Amino acid sequence: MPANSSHSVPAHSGASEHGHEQERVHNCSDASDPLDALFDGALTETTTRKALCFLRAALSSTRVILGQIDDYGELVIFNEARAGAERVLFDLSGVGFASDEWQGVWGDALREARALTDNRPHTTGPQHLRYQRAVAAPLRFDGNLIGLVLATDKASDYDEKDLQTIADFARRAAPVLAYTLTQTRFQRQLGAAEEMASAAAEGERFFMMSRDPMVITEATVKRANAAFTSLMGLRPQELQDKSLAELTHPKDRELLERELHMMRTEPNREHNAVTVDMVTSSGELRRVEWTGAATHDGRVYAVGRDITVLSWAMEDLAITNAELQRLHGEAQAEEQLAARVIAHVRRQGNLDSPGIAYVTSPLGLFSGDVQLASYMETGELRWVLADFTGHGLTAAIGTVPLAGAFQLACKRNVGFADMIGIINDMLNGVLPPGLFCASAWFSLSPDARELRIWNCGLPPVLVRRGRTGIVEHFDSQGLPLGVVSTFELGITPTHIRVDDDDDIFVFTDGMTECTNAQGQQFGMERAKAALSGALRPREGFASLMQAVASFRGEEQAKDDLSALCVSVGQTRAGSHARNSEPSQGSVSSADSSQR
Amino acid sequence: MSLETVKQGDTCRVIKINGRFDFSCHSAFREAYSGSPTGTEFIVDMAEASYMDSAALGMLLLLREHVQQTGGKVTITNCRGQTYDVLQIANFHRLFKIVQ
Repeated sequence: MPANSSHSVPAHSGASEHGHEQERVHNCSDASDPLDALFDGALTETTTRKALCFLRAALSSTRVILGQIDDYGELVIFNEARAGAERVLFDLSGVGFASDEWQGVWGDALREARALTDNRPHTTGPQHLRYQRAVAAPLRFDGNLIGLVLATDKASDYDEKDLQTIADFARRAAPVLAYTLTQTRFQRQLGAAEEMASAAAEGERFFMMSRDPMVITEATVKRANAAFTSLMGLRPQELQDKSLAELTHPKDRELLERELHMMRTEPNREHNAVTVDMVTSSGELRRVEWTGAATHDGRVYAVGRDITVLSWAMEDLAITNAELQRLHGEAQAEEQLAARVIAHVRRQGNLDSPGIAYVTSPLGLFSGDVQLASYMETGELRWVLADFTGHGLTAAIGTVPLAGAFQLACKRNVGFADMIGIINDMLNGVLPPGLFCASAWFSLSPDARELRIWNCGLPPVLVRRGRTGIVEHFDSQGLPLGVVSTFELGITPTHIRVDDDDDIFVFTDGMTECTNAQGQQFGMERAKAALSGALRPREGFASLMQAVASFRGEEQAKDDLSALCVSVGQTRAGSHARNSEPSQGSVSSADSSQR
Repeated sequence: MSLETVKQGDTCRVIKINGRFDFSCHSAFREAYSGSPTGTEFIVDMAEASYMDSAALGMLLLLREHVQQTGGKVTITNCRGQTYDVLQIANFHRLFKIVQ
């Protein structure tokens, strides 16, 4: 505000002329001292600027600088230095000088705590504070150094009067600056206190709002939140003079006290949670997991978590788990026993006699595939390949009565079609609806010249004629067993002539439907191709199995794969017949088998 | 697999099989026919079925049993390729009306 400044400040107060003296007197009478108006209350930006303008004029100086000593003992410059009212020479506001940077006349003035002049140029130190002649006075209040006022670059030397003027100014300004600094500091502290109070209030709100129990404890409980008192069923005043251990079940007291002790002795370490049973006012137990931290004075801040229900659930789970493990063990033992029984039943008969080759690859312990063979008293050879629906035990269970009935029927000389009928009726009664048995049944006459086939639900049976290399197929003729009554079934086996060089193949859909990496199925055509090459009799089975293996490659089997081959000439009947009469060759073709 | 049941009037239900018709369809298939009124005619539409196995045959047998108890009939339609072969091998045409 230049207009104001020029009004209240004489233009050339440095020159001691009477006129000016009178003007000053006049001003003084107007307001006893112009500084009074300026140092009215605290220093503001405006009053500071006015005061410094006044001083600059009074000292005929180019620049005037006011600084304060801050809490760290640094001189911090208040104002930018100005030439005239408006032009900013440089901005030092906020720049601090530590005491070892106090240089020149102002440094001496601060250290010696008195006003000093120096009419020599000062050329060292920060650019801003170099000067041609200077006068400086420290601001002191209550025995403490609180600031500095510095005027520089007067056209002529500063004299005693200037020294007096700046000293006066400093004396007048000091209490105002002190007041300002105190007020600022007070405001700052007030702000910090308000912040702390509000943080404390927020903390308190969290403390009381939390649904987790919280306790502040020394030797006894000092404070507890609502969650804790309601958990324990106690009123806050009932907690007075009680220790946390007293509220804990006797069995856990030692554990709790040990943890509290560790928190107090090592307050800076993070401590593990400790889980104890707390005893409520009604004598109930609540399982609480405590975590906490201690202050250096031994006060422990503990936060709990009521895990009573959780721990019940965990216990239940452990019991259930143990029960499951036991049941699983039992089931495993039972399964192994059942698997042994089933394996034993299947091994009965003459499956491992000459002329019969087979593979079986059950996916698990149990398989729904079964292959059986048996020589009858008459010398007739019967065999069957059966595939029960489903997998595992469900599928395997049906194989037991089937094997029993097959062996019994062979032993009792039951006719071929009758045997199938009996087994069908038996399975029809035993198997639940939806489960059935796809199978193919064979009977080779005692002279090994006549073969009867009943294919009910399996992929076509293949007969490879050794003499010609031709492969004939005999498709499924009837419903799988176990679906309808034998009366409805109408079992009429196909009769064909066979020769010693003929091989008879039967397999489950596990073979025709097995897939390669591209998802293609093996299929009947590949099976036939594997058998129709320039093979010698009895090499067919190995060729077929090789074809399946190389087709499948690395692919895992999805279904049980069973296959069986009877080489007519190798069977007991065949080797007997070979010695008596030459074979007649086939009389039946693939087409004739279609009925 | 997925399975869709369309009711055609009060007496006909079409069960449409999509994708693989195997054990994974078991409960959905049972739901498709359970609770049907007496005399309901079922059409199992295999047009979108890519595959069926013996478990699927078993499910058809269960449907057949259900129909025998409630008095109705089952027709299997749009069978082709693998699904037709499987039904053919099992001779299911003797139990169901099968339309190619």
